[in-house]
Amino acid sequence: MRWQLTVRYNTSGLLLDVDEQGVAPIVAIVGPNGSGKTSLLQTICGAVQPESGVLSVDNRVFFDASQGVTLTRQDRGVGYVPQGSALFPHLTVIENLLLPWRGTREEGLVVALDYLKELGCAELFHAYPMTLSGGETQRVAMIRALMRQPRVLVLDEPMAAQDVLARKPLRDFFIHHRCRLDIPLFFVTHDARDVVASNAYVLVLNGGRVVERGPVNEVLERTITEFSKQFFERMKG
Amino acid sequence: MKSRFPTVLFAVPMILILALPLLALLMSSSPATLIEGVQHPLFWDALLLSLWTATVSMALVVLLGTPLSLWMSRRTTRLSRALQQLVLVPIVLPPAVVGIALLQAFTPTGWLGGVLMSIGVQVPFTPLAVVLAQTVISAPFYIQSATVGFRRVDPQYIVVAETLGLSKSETLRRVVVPLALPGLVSGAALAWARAMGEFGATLLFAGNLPGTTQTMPLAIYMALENNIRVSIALAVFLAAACVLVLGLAQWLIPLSQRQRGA
Repeated sequence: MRWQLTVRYNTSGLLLDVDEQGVAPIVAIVGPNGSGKTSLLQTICGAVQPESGVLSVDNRVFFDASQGVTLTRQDRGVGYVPQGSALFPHLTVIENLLLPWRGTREEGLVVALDYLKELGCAELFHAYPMTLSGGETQRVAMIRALMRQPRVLVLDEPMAAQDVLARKPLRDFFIHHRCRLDIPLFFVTHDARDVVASNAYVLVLNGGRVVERGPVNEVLERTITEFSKQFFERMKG
Repeated sequence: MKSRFPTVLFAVPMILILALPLLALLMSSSPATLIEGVQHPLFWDALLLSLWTATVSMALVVLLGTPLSLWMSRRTTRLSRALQQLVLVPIVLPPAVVGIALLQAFTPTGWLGGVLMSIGVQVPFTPLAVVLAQTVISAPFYIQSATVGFRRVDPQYIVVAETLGLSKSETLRRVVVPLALPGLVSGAALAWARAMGEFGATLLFAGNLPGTTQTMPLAIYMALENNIRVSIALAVFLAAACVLVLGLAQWLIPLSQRQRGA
């Protein structure tokens, strides 16, 4: 599952300058606020276009400035859950879930209901997003990303609004489905437990650059920067 | 300590200025006046003409104004900013000026009118002229409201819709337009009401021909010369139609938001 993230572009005062590649299926992007984590995810899903570089995931080139290749957002096959989740407020939960579904409506309903049951929120079927809690919204947005039948998952703080009881089931949910679909996963988190539990490859960003990288066990051992020391502190204890 | 002075008192003078003419109109009319107005030969022709021309001009404004509003809402170039000012021009221009300008463009001796005349189409002093005058005068109201409506749609929704595989036209149809709907509906209602009330440009460009180009405001003007009671009756019906449509739009918008659980 080879990926390459080589991007360089200016985003509201921050120069994002990343040149990383690897084969790990799960990549956790961590770092202080304003370090460029969300911007990096946005380049993968095509929300923003870098000035130069190469973006490829699982042998598919999303962007290559030198070759003039730019895959549209539609063609990237990204299951994207942005911060705040962005459920469409004018559509009910089930309408949100069926929006990306490409099969028949009946099949879609069955699949969506299975996912909702799996996360214990089948009762939200006909609810409008404004009536959901932050945690419920994130769970529905996660299911919607899977309904797209993605070729890569890109999740921006997918568990920021989850309470302690909901956190682990949701984490298990997306790790399980990533494995089932056999697709790469890139996610941003502020919680070291997510990184350790998913056994992710870690990219520590600071000021738009990657300052530490490696499998979580190695990063946990050496923790070079002050940020990663504090980030992983609890896990060591 | 929080001031106990009721700030609403500052708002009262403006409310009075806005409400007084309407109240005076209502108070000076009676059921007998209204019946007399309805039975007047000017009434039905003018009402029907106003209703269909205002509806057609609103449809034109929505059809042609929506793509322009969408384009302006997404651009911050010098050209789009200049256009945003340009579309407001009919609001600040006296309607009589718009009427003369339209007449100059479409008169058979004018450059556009000459071309149309050569294919047998005469615009001035026809119902088509009424529609054109209403369209030009009312378009800015819709475009302004629709542009704001489109601008309020969080760009993140568009990114998410497209990553979910929706094409640009699907994203527009299923995400952007429904989210901008409050702006579009209130803009369309404003444009319709403004078209219903159009007077100056219509008079100069379309004339005041009963049954052909005489809309409600022109009929009010004409009736005023002979019988003020008929004029009042026509005015009450016109005001009621406009208030009704604006009220309907205001009722529809929160309805869609209530449905979402807001």
